[in-house]
Amino acid sequence: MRKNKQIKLFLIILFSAVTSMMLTSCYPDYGLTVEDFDIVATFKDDAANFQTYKTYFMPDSIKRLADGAVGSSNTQYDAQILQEIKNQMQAYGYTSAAEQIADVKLFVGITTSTTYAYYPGYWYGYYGWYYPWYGYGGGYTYAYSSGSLFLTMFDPDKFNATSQILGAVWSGTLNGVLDDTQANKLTRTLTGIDKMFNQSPYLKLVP
Amino acid sequence: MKIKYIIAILAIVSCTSFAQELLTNATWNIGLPVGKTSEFVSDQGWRGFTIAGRRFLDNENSVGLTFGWNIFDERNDEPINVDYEKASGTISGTQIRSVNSFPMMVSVHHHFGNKRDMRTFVGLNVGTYYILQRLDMGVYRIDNDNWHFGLAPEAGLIIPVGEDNTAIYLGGRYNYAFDSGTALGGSEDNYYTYWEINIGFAFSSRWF
Repeated sequence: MRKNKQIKLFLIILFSAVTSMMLTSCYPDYGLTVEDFDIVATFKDDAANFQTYKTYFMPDSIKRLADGAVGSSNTQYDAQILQEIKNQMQAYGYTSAAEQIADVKLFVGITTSTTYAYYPGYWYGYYGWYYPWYGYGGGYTYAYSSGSLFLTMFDPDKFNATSQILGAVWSGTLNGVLDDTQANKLTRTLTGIDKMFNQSPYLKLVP
Repeated sequence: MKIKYIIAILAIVSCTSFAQELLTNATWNIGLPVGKTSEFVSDQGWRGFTIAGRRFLDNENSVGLTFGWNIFDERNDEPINVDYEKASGTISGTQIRSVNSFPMMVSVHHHFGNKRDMRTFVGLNVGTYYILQRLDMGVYRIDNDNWHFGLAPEAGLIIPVGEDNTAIYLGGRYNYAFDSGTALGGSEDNYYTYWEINIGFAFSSRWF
């Protein structure tokens, strides 16, 4: 009888231990790469009729919205980024025009930031989720730098002089991790710009 | 960390319960989200467990307690469409979606069959679910957790193995956690439903 109890006790403890390990250590990492942390968000003013816009104006520089820690002053790839936006606008049927006569104006901005955080350990979470990380002891202190590219389309006719609110009719935002090679950051940025337009088919002018 | 202690306490409670006329079962759960739950996470959940105890009132009927944990998660690349009053938009990127469900319930069961033979049972669990809904996207994480009142009807088999009051336990359970709070994204319709297959062991202080 005593032996039976010991067997049961052993099985219960074994089951609990195996289940606990299964639950805590087997969270999949999904094979995430740095590209998987990129988010593209686009929004439109539902009242805007994009088919009435034919021409656009875009400054030849990218505004640094905030001087963060990483890469914010690096203008190395600004020309490629602006060119990609021009290519997409052209592909969608828009024509570049002078600021005074353009139907819409495009504003391009970049912001960066560095985040420090502490991950308490293996328990309950996605191990290796945040990128990159470094650590000691049972938990990990990790830091990541993220950046955002903002692309906003304004309709000058919607400018509200009283409230001083600009008439934004469309916006695209790319947010991602900056801890990557320069070349890959450029590739990801250009891909993100393409995605902004691909997921906004209503921008495309119908001939 | 609290969950670790809860599991340890449950294991100790399960072990000490042998001194009474109890049937204790510990199972691995395979979960299948259905209904609204499957709209958020559609993949089967291979990670989950239940620890439960039943106190027999007579040869056929029992009351007990059921505790468990089921995890549903998946990688999802479908864009999210959002609608506001005057604007609408699309957010795309890799998402890791997960639902963690912790049922804590009282139960009643009726058992069919003879002592020491394979027995079938039907039962009903009534109690609460603590459910954590999580969305990881980019470097952002959004959590949404609520306590739900819930019901979980179940049926299964208890198959004795040898003479040492140990049995193989096979069961199926339907979980319905009623509407509570708001879902991630703001929907007021926040209920969860999922099926479980329970595979494990049952231990009896004596054959019931």
